Amino acid sequence: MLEIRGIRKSFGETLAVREASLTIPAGQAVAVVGANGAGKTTLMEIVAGAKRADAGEVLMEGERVGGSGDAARLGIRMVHQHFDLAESMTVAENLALHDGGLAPLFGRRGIERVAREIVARSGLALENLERPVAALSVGEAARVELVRALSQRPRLLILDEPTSVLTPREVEDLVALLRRLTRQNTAVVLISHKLAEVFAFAERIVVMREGAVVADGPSAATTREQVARAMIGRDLRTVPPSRSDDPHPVRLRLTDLATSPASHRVPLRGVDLELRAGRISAIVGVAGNGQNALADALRGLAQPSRGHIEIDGAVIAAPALFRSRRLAHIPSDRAREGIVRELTVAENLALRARRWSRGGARARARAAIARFGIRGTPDQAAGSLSGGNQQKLILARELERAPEVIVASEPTRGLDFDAARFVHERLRAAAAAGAAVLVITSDLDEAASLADEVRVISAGSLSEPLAPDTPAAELGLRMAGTH
Amino acid sequence: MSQLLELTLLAGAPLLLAVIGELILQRSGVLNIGLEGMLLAAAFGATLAGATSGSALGGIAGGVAGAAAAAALFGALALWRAADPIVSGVALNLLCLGATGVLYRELNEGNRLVEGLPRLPRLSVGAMEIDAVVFFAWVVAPLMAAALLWRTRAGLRMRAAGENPDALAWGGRSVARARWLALAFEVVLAGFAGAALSLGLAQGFAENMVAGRGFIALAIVIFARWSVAGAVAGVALFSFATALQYAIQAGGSGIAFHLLLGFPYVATLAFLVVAPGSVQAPRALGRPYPS
Amino acid sequence: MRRLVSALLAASLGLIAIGAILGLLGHPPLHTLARMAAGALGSPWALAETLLKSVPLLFTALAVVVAFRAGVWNIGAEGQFVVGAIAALVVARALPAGSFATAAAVAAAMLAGAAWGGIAALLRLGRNAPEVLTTILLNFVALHLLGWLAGGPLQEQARRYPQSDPVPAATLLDTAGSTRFHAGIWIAVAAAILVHALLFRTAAGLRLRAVGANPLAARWAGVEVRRHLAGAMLLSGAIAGAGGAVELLGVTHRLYERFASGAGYSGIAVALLAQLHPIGSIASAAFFGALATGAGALQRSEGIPAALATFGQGATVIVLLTLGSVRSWWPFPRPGRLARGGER
Repeated sequence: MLEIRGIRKSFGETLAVREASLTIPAGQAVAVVGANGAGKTTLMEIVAGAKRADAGEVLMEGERVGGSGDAARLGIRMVHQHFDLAESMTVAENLALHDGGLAPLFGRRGIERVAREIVARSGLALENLERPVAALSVGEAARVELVRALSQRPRLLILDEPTSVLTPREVEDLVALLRRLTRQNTAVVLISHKLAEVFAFAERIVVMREGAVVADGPSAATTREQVARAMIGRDLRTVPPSRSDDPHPVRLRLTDLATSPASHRVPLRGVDLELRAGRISAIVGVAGNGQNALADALRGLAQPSRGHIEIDGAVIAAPALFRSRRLAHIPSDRAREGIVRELTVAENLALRARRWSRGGARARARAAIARFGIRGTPDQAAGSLSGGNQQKLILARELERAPEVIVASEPTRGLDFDAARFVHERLRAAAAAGAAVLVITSDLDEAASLADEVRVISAGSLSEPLAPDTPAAELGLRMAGTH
Repeated sequence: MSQLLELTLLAGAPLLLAVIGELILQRSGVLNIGLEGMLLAAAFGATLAGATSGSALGGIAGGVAGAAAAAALFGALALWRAADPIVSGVALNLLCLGATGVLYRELNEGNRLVEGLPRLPRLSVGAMEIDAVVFFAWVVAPLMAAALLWRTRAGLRMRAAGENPDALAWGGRSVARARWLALAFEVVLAGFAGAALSLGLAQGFAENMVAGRGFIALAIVIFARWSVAGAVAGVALFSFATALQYAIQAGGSGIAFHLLLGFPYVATLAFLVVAPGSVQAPRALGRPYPS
Repeated sequence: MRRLVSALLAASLGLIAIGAILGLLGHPPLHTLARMAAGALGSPWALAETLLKSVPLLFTALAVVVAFRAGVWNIGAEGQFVVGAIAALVVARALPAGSFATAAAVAAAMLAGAAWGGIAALLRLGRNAPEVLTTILLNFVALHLLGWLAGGPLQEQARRYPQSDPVPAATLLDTAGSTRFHAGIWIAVAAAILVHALLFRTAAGLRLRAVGANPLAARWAGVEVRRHLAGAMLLSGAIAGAGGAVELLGVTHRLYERFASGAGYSGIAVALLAQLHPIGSIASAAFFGALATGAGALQRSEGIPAALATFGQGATVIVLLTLGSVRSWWPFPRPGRLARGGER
């Protein structure tokens, strides 16, 4: 029914989908799994016509899918991870918004009537249509999206990580519903990283890694360990545990730290963590499991709702933490949070400086450029640097004042091998010089090669510390929430 | 007292029309700081067309045409080119203030734009005789706006464009189209407002005759929290205060005229201070699309 | 370089727009434009008048530059200019005449302007009320405050016109010869240089620009965004307030209702034509000052309304926007977020 032929897609320098070909027959229950950034969402957005491929084509019943119009006509529906709902509008209004059944002019009950028809057509139950979407729980909002998608009787339904925000009970219901759909000959593609639900739902599992399909087969013939290994791309890794076991003083301690659900979609739910001088700790997890809340709390941007943060044994409040020059931060979104694109390299480097003179800044910038191997000039706009050089620029700025604690979020995401190795070397050097380093990453290789201990973050909670040579498959299973 | 009421309704009519027009536009996610200029263009167009045609209807058509000319420019910048809406609005104000000032004096040789200017038609409501535009502003326009926003598919799409344009676009609808349509509604209402100013409240055009009503309208939209009922209430409150000033001034009680004139602005600022919760605008207000 | 080209292009196209409207009204465009130029630049007196008119524009433009560079939509230079002049008048008349009174008057004007801007900053940071609207409202409050004062508490002793008594002569800024050219122009140029130094030569200015360009990144780099937004608003108000004092002490000598006459709004056009550059604002203010003087001369000699200058300002900004050059230097990442006042 659906044929995906040789799809390629890149965003700027990064190749999101390298080469993907798949055929999905009607009524099949398919799970597309992969680590963060494996290209699964991009591939499926191309199938749904929301993004255009650089090469290759998507055929539905032999017809080419060129845009979202084609996709809709041919019965392809996608439910996004970020729901496309207008929050201050009611459920009924959101449902009726795109429906052809809504008259140009409708009466007092017009929207509700159309919405009820949509709900009825979807075969799902949905009550209280007059509530604004903002008042719904995420699970309920997901249901609204499902109702909308199902009411159009799709022949291919794509769901992008629908369960990351659902309760276990809601997940069970959803899986049952999807099962029913496939029996009615609708093909369902579930994009997920949670192996439990993948195995509960799918008859076929497609594993993607680094933009390519690396495994594809019936779920009955595979084990979780095999899938986890395919996702991560390697088997057991042995790391020489040659690190010294001297007692290192605790630099930073989090005690029962929790953040408010109002500020982060996945808040921290009582986290204990110790960072020791000279040691590198890694926190691994699939994006959206509380990493943002943790990074914000450590930056002093999120007020803890419970628990506290200590530096060298003294409790520090969020505003003081924000001002503290003993911490350095490498934010996860380089282009948006790390650099000011419009300012020059020298200016970006000087953002944390108390004093500034153009000559001095230039001289410091030249030194930093030399020391960190940044390919650029002091007076160049930072936005014109390549990704790797932008990251070096951030490192130069943050590490310059020899901080005691370094928090690095996804420090090598999207970087090429050399740039990533350089970043790792710098972090190791900083630790060797006595800094306590925390690396928050979704890259298991990075955690294993860099850290003295590894913890898994899942749904806002941290696991106990694990040895860095913990088998990847086990980490993968923990990340997938099956432990 | 009935005189005070009449003055309130009369003075409030152009303001209310402008407020409702801006409210519809802002609901679709577009902030038009250039409303003041648009009203000036409308008042000028109404005067020009009214004097030329000699009919009130012609005057109203001219008002709408004047507003449409201003809106075309604003829309071309802020919607089509996705330029910054605030700067576009500021530029529109300057341009309209300058252009109407120049054109009016140049075209008004021999006072031909003042003499023979039509009056807007009047309606009898019981013992009271009021301008038809007053009825239109206080009864027809609010009901139509409410119906548009809450009872039509087009209104639903406009609100979606103001809340979450991506959601609208994902469903295959054009955000730009919804916003242009909202701008068209503002044009019609601003056109009527301009006519009500130059053919109703005043007799003819005068340089800068809108005198800040466009800015006040922006403030009342916030005050109203983007609801039509709130807009009616806000304008009623504002115009009553204004009418009261004139009444007091006419009575010669000596209370400083300018302090009273400034009062509504202070009141609006004070409202922003004391209103519960922080100001909650349509989520995509002021965000060009595609951004 | 590209900025200079786009500014020159916009200024030329603005003049062409003026020529077009002149032609539309039956005046020979080139001839009338030439007369306008002569009226603005043709004699020492005209030149002095042009410089005179550009001084308040330069102050309000600098106020706008500081605010917009920090991502703050201060549309309220007009009101800050007015309250600055009011404070200057009160102080200048209260103190013994002399240069100390002059300095004190300017300082008081800066404080008053900053306070006026501070109201909008408080509303933005405390209540999330968009400063683009509150500053406009504050303009009207200032204008009516001025109207009341000029016809009431500060009215001249003679009680004939709604205007104040003049500032004592010894407190006024020095004038050159028989022209009305006054020392305020040096203050304005010094202000432009100071703003330039602040924005491009100090750490605070760097952080201010960072906040305007990317508040998120600035915050991650340890910049306290809210404090800088408030600081930019206060400084912006102080500069506009100083402009009011200089206009009072150099040109009008008295307060009256139409004291500001749109200098605050025109300052936005000046700043935009200067691409938000303080030194460029000097040239830009001179250009618009010449436009205003030329338009005034045309009104006297040909009876063409002086509103032509306002039209020229609007047309120039629209040309700038249309050129699309705006995108390349515009310091705001997300106009919507700023318009909503939604810094979190």
